Amino acid sequence: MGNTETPMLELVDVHKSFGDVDVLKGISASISKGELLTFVGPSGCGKTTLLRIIGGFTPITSGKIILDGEDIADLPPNMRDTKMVFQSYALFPHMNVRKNIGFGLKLKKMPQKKIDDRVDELLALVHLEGLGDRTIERISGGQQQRVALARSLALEPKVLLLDEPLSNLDANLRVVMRDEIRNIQERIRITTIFVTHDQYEAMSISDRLLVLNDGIIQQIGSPSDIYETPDNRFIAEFVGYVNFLEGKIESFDQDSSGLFLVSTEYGDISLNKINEKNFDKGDDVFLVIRPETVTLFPSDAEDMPNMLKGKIQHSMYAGNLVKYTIKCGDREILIDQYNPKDSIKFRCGDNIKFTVPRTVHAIPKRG
Amino acid sequence: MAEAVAGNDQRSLLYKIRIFVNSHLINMFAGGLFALLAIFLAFPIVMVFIKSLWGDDGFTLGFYQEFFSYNFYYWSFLNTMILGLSAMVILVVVGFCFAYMTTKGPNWLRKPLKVCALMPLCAPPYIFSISLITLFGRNGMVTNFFDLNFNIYSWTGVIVAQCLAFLPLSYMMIENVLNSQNPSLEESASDMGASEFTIMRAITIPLAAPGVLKAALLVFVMTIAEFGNPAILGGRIPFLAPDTYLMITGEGDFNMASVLSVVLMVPCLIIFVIHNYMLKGKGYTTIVGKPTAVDPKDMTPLIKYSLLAIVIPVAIMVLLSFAVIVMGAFVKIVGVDNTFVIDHMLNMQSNTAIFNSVKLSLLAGLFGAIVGTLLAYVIMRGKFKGRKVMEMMALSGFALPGTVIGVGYIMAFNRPPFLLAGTIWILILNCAFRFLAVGVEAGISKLHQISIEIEEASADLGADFITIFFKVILPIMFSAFIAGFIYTFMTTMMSLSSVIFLVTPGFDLAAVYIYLTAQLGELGLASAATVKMMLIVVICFASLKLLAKKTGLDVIEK
Amino acid sequence: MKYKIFFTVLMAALITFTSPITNVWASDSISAYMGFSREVNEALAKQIQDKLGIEVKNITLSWGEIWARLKTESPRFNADMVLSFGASEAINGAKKGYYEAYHSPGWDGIDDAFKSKDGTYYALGTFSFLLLGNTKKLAEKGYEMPKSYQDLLDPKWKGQIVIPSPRTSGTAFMINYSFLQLYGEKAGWEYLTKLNENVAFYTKSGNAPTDLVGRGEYLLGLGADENVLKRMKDGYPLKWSVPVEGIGYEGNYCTILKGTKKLALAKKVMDYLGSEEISHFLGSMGYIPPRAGSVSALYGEVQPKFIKLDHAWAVKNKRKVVKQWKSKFLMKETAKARKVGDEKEKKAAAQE
Repeated sequence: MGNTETPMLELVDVHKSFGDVDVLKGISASISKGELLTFVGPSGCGKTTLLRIIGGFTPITSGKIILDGEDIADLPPNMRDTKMVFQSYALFPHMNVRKNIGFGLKLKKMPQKKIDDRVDELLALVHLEGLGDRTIERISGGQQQRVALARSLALEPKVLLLDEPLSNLDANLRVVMRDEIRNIQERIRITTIFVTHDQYEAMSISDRLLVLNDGIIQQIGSPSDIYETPDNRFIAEFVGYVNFLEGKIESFDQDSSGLFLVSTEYGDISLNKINEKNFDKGDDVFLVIRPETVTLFPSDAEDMPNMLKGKIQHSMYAGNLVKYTIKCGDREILIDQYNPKDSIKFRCGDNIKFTVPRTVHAIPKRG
Repeated sequence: MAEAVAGNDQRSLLYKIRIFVNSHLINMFAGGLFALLAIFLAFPIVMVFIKSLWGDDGFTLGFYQEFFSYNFYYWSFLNTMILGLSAMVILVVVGFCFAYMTTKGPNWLRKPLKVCALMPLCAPPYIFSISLITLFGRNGMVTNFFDLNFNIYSWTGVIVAQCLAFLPLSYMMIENVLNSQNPSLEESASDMGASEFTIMRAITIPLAAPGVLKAALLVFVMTIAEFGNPAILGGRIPFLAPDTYLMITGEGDFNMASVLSVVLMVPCLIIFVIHNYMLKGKGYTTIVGKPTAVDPKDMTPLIKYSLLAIVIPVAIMVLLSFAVIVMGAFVKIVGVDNTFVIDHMLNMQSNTAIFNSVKLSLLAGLFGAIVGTLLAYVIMRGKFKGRKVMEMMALSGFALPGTVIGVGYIMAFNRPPFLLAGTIWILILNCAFRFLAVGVEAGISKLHQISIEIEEASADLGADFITIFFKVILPIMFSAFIAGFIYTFMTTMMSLSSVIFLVTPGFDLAAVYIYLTAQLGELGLASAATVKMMLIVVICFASLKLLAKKTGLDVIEK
Repeated sequence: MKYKIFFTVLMAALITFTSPITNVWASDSISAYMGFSREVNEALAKQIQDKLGIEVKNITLSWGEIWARLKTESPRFNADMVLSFGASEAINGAKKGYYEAYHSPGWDGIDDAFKSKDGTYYALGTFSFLLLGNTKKLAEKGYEMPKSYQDLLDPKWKGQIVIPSPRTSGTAFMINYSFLQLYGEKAGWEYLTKLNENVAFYTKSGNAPTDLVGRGEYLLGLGADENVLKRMKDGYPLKWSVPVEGIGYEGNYCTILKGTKKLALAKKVMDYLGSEEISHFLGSMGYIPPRAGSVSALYGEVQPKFIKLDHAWAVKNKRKVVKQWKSKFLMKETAKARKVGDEKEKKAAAQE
């Protein structure tokens, strides 16, 4: 997971307050070389502030920002080796594409010939060959995005910062650009911090995610860690739809199978070993049941372990899947059934059974 | 550089200084600008205050006592207020009518009306009293032709002359807001069944309020401060501005002149404060707008003809006035002996004065525009306390009558530490700081539209504050820069009220030259100089525009 | 880039335009505040430049303005000389020590009336005011040009006379106090009060009446004589006369300002000002010149009748007279105002 190398960027107990409001309450994290880390969280969680602190646009209240072994917390942005792609791209309207990309190089007093070569190289990298002499108004949003990226890459920063770079693009272009950014990042192996509030975007682009809420890191981990084994209810909910089933650990069998038995209102569910967390018998837990992990059966199906009963309340056909809302006792459970063509179709009012997989994740109720 | 440093934590002093400079440069600039404002705007005004309270024997209220004990003075004060307020009301209405016609009226009328409304900008304000005398004087051409019995040396004359002179100010401010109004608002109102009159009353006028207010403020301040017209046409009616001038030039009484200045300034500042209060939250509207193309709609005939009924006579008056000036330049004595002569035009004395004026205006314009843009930037983007104060100071130029600043400048900069009297710098600084407000305001409104990310991006790419300002901000704020430049250029060129106190031997100015020549009755020379000056102004503008077009900057200006 | 071009061009234009500014204070030149009419100023400056090769950077100002400037600028004057201002300015300035004392050899042989004893100032000539009338308008109405000042009180002139306000300039002040000296103070004020009934308004320049009457705006005026000749030549239907009581007069004084860095040049100019040539030149402009050999083009050989004037009195009482004048003729015409004005006057008189 990259922790073995020396980190490229290290945040040590970063605090930030605006007046009385504490926006960041002690953030510590490290990013290794070549990694793409995404700050993700709901709006107002402090992710953009954290990014701006790294970029040097917002002064830090306390803490350290160590870039490649050097504390840069006091440096103004123009003296930091981090480059930012802004949400609005912040392209200079009075310069053409080439001038924009070459701006930083020119400030470095690089000879014009070298600037030209480097700009050509970058234009090729972001697939904008031949558009160098266009003015900024005369290229599309996606192209502007590429220019902004190229402009930041021109100076070969140690860390590239991307502040919600895709938020101004339409849905299709977002996906294209997301892949493109990832592609370029992997190609040149640049350490990158990406900020977004879109969890799917975050999961699909990152090596690791840093989930922030209320100025506190909720969890750092790979996309699958975060999705499959969230640390708490907030993360579980944040990265996708989730059904929580409240239960209590009735027993666990430590020796052979490692099966746990969790009792819920609607029946008992046995799970494989609950990993990484220490649970005791009698602990209250939430079972994190993702909609797509549940399998549906008709009401006359044979009983199986972990099978619960319910009634279809609502169904919505969405092409690649059918979304069912199931009434189970007094609560609703959302179930996604993929590949509807080859599955049994249920109607509203049908009584059904469904099974919860044994691999289901459990989190402590408190926490 | 890194090798020179001993430890890892140890950074060289130089490096630390660099860090400090880089992060605090904007505040240093702010400090410098603050000092400039204090010296060249606040200090002269303070001097006026002091002088009004400090006689030969120290502190005294005697001068104020004198002011209040002579009914003449407060009569004069009252007259000044009446003049300012009536010109304000008239010009807001007329300016609105012109602006409405040129933004929403029939297409073929727009351009000619716009030219008429802006034309007075090309001539010194007091030139209208000369035209009015020639036309409507007791022996005027129109008076004689229609055998009228009409006294131009009266309220009518003064108000008409001031209104003609300052029509462009009001027009520009109001036209700008009308132009930048989103036409879909009016379209949606008419969609909901509102008549044009209702739209005008319920949408157009309320939305134009910021421009109208600004126009009102500027017109008020300018009409009460420019003393040319009241001095020539006032007859027996006293006004504060010419009185202040006479107090200094005729009676050499600086104390009383200061008292009059203070009195003149008070209503201006009150209006300024009211104006700021009313504009609060309404956003900024200035000369730089975002014109939106509208398909010309047919105006309701009733509105069209009632607006035309106001606009056409005014346009005719403007055209007649200029016709008289042009005629005056080419005939022996306009209205008396109308034989063609070229002598006036060939008189070379005025050329130096005009040349000087152009020089001064260019320098003041450039200086003012740079300082104005910087100020706007620092006010908007700086992170220091007192930005509000700074903004108020910079914008107060709107409210300071030229006469007052002129008087303040002679008293403030005539002795060390600021010994500027007698140099061209006193003129440049005076004009640049007096007319700063437009550039600052245009800059602020422009900066409202520019995302701060642009600057952050440039800093991120390694630019320091100065580089950002000159390479990124200035080009983007170019329209604001130009607005400040043009306003300062034009007003410096034409305005008399403050430079007349400051001109030095060997550096005569056109506005002063024309005023003094006209005062001597040399109408031919005055007219000829005015015509030449108009030509120069037109040439300056044309070349500025051409330059902008050639370099493609007019695209950005939108 | 384009922006750069734009700026470069603008800058280049500026620099070419403004480069001459730096050498405003070139060597063989002096600067002067000049208080003649602009044409005379320019002509005189040209005359000096042609003859002596010294450029006279000048600015035309009214005497009041010159005085105001001297007062504020003292002791660092922004000019080297003053060419023409009034007695009041000359006398007061000499008292304050504004002027360089210089006994110019160029002025030898000129009547002492034209020179100060200590050599601080010299009179370049004298000028007066005249009664002016518009020939065309007078003929239309069938009126005769008044012969005496008393004729001006005839109600038929109501609203037809323009006079400069004494607040405006030295000339204008002289016109007004001439009456105080002609009739004595009390009778003088009475006369002015009566005249006020017929005065249309008080102009804000000493020369404005010449213009207003010349243009036929008003029938009669009392105005400075300096532009009259020029106006008549220009073709204005203007005529002038000297009323039987005579006319007031005033000198055009010139001086060297103390502390000038161009003292030698200034002295040279001063010497030249006393020459026959300058006298001739000023005579041709209509002034009554210092050298007796030259005659005024306006008045000719015969000197007009002058009212006997006590300039020193005028200088001393200027402030008081102007104040009195203001409260008499500028106050709003209400009964109360008049009463207040009268009381003020009484009080002022009591203080004397």
